[in-house]
Amino acid sequence: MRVVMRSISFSMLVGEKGKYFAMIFGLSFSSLLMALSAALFVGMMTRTVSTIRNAGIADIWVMDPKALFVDDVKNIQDTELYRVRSVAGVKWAVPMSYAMLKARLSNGAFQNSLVLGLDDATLAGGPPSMVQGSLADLRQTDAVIVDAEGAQRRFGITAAENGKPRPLRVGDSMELNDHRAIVVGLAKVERSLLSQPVIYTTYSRALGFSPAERNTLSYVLVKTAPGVDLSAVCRRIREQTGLGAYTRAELIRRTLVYYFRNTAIPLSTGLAALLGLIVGTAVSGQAFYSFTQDNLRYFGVLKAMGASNFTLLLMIVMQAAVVGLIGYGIGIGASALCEYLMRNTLVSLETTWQILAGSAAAVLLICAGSAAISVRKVLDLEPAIVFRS
Amino acid sequence: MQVQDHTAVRCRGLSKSFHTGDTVIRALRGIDLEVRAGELLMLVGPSGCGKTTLISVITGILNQDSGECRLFDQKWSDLPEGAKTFYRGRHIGFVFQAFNLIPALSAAENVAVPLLINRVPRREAFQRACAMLERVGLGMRLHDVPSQLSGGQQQRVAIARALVHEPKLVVCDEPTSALDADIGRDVMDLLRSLGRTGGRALIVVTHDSRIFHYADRIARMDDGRISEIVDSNVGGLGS
Ligand SMILES: Nc1ncnc2c1ncn2[C@@H]1O[C@H](COP(=O)(O)OP(=O)(O)OP(=O)(O)O)[C@@H](O)[C@H]1O
Ligand SMILES: [Mg+2]
Repeated sequence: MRVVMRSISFSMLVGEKGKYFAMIFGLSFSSLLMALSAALFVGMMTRTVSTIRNAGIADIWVMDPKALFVDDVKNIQDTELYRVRSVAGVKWAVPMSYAMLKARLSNGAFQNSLVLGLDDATLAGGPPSMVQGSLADLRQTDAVIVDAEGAQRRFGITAAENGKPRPLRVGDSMELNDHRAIVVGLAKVERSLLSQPVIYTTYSRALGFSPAERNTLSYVLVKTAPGVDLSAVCRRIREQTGLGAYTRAELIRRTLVYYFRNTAIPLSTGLAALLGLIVGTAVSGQAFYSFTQDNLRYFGVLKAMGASNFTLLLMIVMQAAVVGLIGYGIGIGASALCEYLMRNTLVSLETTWQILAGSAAAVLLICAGSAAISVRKVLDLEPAIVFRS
Repeated sequence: MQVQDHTAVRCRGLSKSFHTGDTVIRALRGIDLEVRAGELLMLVGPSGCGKTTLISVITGILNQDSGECRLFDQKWSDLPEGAKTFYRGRHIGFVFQAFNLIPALSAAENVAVPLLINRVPRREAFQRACAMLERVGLGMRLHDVPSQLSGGQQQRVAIARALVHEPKLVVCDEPTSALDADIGRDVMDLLRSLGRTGGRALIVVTHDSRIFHYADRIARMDDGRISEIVDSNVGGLGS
């Protein structure tokens, strides 16, 4: 019904070019910074649980009871595998070893890598998908599978021959603690927080690569029988073995909580987001406020000419909504562009719908706040000011 | 238009005081005034005598402390605040000393505002605004913004804006004091010729003695009172 005043409020807004652009700039910058830092937060947090996500198949992870998060590996005795297998509700259980080892390439360069040993019989817990070769190729002598990105990037740099980096390829050999290993395949895995390459091999071969340790079993991966209560199985495993047992979701949560509490990831990304919010509020809020201040006299003229307070309110809300929408659109567009441009870099950005909704809410807040302050002034306005010269 | 009465505005015993800190300024001290339908009444008097306060009360922008003010048959004090605003938008047009055109809007948009406030559909509002601008001689400047127009042109846009919704009363506060004498006369010619049609009443507040002869009657104010009302001799002026 108030459609008719819309063109007027829009013209008033666009007429103040400087302030109009300041508002849009502030809001774009704000939503860009908020969305990017939130995406960075989600991206980094997602990487902290890459070990769990890469071994997608397991319902329950059994590990040392004192382990705080998934990569906090304290090996357990090999015999624990059999005790876990005997717990009611466990359909099958496989061992997995986890070790950070130095891989030495043929040119003598070293690269720290995460070596995962998979159950010899089933190769369960292997990489989500293969880029080249197949998982079964691990059964060949000295076979290892390297993650494709690691082969391209980290190994690619270290394998530099006459200054030219070249990716590690199937058929290349390397040494893990003086044991020969042949690359038989390349796998696609999710990147970890430190982006070190992941090397898959069999459990028994991994034992050979590792320096003689008393225990080499890092995790027992458990698949439960269909329909059983996962947390009940976990409880039984804990009671019968004294080990830590977590459902996949629990271990993800535990790991996220650990990184959230013990690293600067939330603080640093949170600060960037806060900065975005503050700058956005300062720039846009201030520009919007001074826009309405400058137009106070004209709002008074409209009031004198019979515009109701409700009409003026709608005009201001509509003006705030226009800059909010445009600013949010530009900001989110720019953030999506960043994400696209950085898709092949080490920066991991992950924009979720929650981020989109959250930045929309923040922009809404800024606009509503600026509008609210301005509206008060306009509604309290004495139309008698129009007669002052 | 019903003609029951030839009185457009009737004020009886109006008084209005302003309180600033401890001081009380009695801006209106018992005003009795009638403005006839179809006349141009000029309100003159020294600075601070209460002219602006009086037209603010007449147009329902300020509430009086006591006394009564009617516009045609409507007593302002009978209307709730929201209805006053609506009634003012429907029946009153304004011309200000400072033009008060919205700087970001084109001439046509500015003139369309009173129609839009009265919920005339957009397209019709702009057609009527353009037609009105033609009548004040600005048919060529429809899309110019105020800063592209001279003072006299801006005041003509303001006159178009004050008349476009065919109000029953037009109130002008010092319409010529920001303009050169020649331009001021053009503006008054325009106000007289376009404004006083269909029984519409005009109240023009002014200091400018050069335009007194445009009045039908002149009400002289002094210190919050109407000191005299005289008929002006307008015989020689065409309308
Ligand atoms: N909002 C207000 N608050 C306090 N005093 C006011 C207010 N408005 C007007 N006054 C005072 O009331 C008196 C009448 O003012 P008003 O503006 O009506 O005079 P005026 O005749 O229009 O003067 P001018 O010719 O200078 O425009 C003046 O003394 C003025 O200072
Ligand atoms: Mg005055």
